[in-house]
Amino acid sequence: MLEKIKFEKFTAFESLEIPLSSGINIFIGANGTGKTHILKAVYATCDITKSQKSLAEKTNRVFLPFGEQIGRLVKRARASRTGYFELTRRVEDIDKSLTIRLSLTNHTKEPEKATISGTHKQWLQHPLESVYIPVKDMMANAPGFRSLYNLRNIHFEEVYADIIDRVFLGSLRGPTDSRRKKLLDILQRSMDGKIISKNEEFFLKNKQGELEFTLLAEGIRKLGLLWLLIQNGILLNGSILCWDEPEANLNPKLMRTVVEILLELQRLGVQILLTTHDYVVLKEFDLQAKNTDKLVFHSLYRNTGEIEIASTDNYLNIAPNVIDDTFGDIVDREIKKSMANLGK
Amino acid sequence: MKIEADGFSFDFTDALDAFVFDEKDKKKPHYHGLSQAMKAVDIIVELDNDYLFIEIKDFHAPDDYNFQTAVDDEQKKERRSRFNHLREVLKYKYRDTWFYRWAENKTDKPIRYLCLLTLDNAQISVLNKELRKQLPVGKAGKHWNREIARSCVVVNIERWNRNFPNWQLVRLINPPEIT
Repeated sequence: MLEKIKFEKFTAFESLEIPLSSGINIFIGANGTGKTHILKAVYATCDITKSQKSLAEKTNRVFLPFGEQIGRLVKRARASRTGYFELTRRVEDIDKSLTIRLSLTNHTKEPEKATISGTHKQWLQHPLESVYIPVKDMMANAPGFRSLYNLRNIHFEEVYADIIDRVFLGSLRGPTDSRRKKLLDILQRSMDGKIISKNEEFFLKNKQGELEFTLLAEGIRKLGLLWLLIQNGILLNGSILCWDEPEANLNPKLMRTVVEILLELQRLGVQILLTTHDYVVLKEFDLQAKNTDKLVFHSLYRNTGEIEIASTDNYLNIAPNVIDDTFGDIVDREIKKSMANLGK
Repeated sequence: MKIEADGFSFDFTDALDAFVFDEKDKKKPHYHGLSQAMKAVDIIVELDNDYLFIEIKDFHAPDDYNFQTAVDDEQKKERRSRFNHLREVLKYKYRDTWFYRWAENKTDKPIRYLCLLTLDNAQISVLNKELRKQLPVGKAGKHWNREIARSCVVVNIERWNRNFPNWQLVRLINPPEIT
């Protein structure tokens, strides 16, 4: 279970520490407040426990700075400076918290020159299943993408290749238990079918036949992706799910299913981090969550130029709430238009 | 000019007159007297060049009206129906008040309708749009030479205080508890 993540002079952050809920962490904030960066840093750090890659190399591939110069991930300043991020997790097997830190200066060009510290060795000894779902759908483009990506001549953040790998490489561990089956059933009802793959190509299979992913609405592809990750056992107790803007290309009706699944995954022991700009997502969580669910809303905002965070487990206490404020701003403009300057 | 209604206190600093319109007390000068036949908004304010009709609704469960975030079709139908009912109530309160004031010969200035509802910004934004069409606001009829409402805005407490600093609003009692 991830306990906290800390940033110092890293990408958009001057200094930020985020305590994480063991359940669902929902990040909201205006564009440019670093929501996706938090997810990417968390994901890179979890992924290396399975891929056994260097944290610096993985971070560089996931963030993909210009010219792959890792030093560009240090928060910009004219002077020389050092930045870092560190993640702390609790490992129940050894009843211990482990911390790993990646430090670099803005002059560090190659990942090999970056410094990895903390309980690095132990960190790698305890594998942690993790998955990062990017904003853009990749399932329809899976055929051939992996081999092309491995040639390293295409400019894509590694999360795009990784999500395809997760879907293909995951293996079903024994018979599907009843709780997992329940989730698959919910998704099957919403998608009206199940997912099969043939030669790296995905299809939605139902009574009408097999429909290739390229012909499916993107929203249905997202449900299909979830179905695959649950079916192949990637999303299990102890897994980490990072999902960047689940609402992208999803109609509000399907969002209800996605939130239902996410809450259920959390009940199964999956730790979730997601970003959103969407009112319906926030309200769905507020309305569907039970008192026993572990849910924290993290609001990222700029205060005198620097990014700060306010976290709460109560929807009504989210402040600042950039999503609600947007509606508020619209209402203010309507009032101004309707009431001229009366009352001012 | 201070006035209290439905658990809120208002201070209309620039008002010529302000009174509770939905008055039940027979001794009061603005006693309505036709509540069996006509609906009434809570407050009427007279300004130099406008009248304000103000209706207040403090909800104990605002999400009962949030059809946009219903978890299933049945709940959506139920919430949409509550939402529509609320919109109709607000509409007929305005229209009946307008008739009453017309009979009093008090429709001599443009009338603006303000609905103070304890709903979130997204909900009031939707209601604002629908209510405006339903009243309707402006010279809506093809052959109309007059309007029955100059404007209509739905606000919550936060939006009221942000947009009307000269009409200070204070909640006198705690919000209704969720039962």
